[in-house]
Amino acid sequence: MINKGVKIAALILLIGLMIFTVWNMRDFGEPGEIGDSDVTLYSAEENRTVILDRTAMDEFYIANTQSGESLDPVTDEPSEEEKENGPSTNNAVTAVVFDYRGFDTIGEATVLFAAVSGVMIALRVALPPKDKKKGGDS
Amino acid sequence: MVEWTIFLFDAAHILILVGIVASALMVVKFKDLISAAIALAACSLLVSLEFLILQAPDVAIAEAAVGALLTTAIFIFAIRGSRRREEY
Amino acid sequence: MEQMSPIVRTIIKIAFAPMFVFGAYIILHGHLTPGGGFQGGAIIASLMALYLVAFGATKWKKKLLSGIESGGLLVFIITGFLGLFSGYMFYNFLSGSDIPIFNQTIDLMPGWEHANWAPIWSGGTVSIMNIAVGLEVIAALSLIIITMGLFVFDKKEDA
Repeated sequence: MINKGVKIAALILLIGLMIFTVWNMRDFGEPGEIGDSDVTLYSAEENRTVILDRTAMDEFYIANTQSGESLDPVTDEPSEEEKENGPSTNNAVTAVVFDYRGFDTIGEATVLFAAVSGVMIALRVALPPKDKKKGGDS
Repeated sequence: MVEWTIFLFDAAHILILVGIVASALMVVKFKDLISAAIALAACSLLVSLEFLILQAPDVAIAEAAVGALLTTAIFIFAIRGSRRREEY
Repeated sequence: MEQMSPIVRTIIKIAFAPMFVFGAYIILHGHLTPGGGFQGGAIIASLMALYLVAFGATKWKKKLLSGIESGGLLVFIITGFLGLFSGYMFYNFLSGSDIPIFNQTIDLMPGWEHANWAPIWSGGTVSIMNIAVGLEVIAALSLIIITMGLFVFDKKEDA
């Protein structure tokens, strides 16, 4: 058994880390602003090309998710601008899920863990299939 | 040429939407619960095709795997554990 | 629990390897193509469900699956918190660094502001988190399916 003080200390440490994380998260871009519009689509109904507007958030992802590579050539450390830059993945959805908002993905993975724990606790009658004494419903 | 492809695209889109509504009605109407579970799997598969049309391939893959197979397996386990037919 | 018919078993035997390879592809290429840890893990877990239903397998290493699940979650959280040493939570400290784990960078073609291709040995912590979450989802969904299936069928045999 772990000591109770250790448990409380770990809990307080975790709470502190998470508060620090939320305070320290990456910038997300600004949704809603119209950037320059170069996505075109042909409309057969009106017989003309439709120009779709990309918002500033789209521009942010296209510019930043693939270019998280470069270190500053002078100081050989990532500059402050590069830290806000992207994670250097080709897939922007993965960049959002695992890098920009990885904090949400921690929550999602924890929900899955809790679901599995709940199912295995609730149905622990079936846990050992070769075990003869089944202690369920007691 | 372009008009034909756009027309076919729209036709497929409408067919998928009609299929979603039809399979969802089947889920409600069927008295045989295994048939209802299979209809729910078909509804889920059509929803994943709809996601693919709406340019969200990530959600489409997750929906196809989870909705069409895993929930169907869980429903079939639950039906095997109880009675098969709905009574009223 | 009983096996299903030989037709079903043969088809599952044939389809096992391609489905497994497809799921592994979805997980390992999560930073390049659509998909990722959750999607590929769900595909492989559905493969486990097919195996359970078709062959009626009752002997599963549940301790091993629980260990894989907890280990995947731990690796994911630790990788996320390691980014704090570089300043940001979930900072991608591996990409472009000297540590030879997924550290290649994406070369942008001249004249293009973004590329449509990238080396597979890129992505940094994102690739590691993809693999960790993939293992966790495989183990978690397999455990749910196996536990519910064995519960139902064991109860059926008892009654």
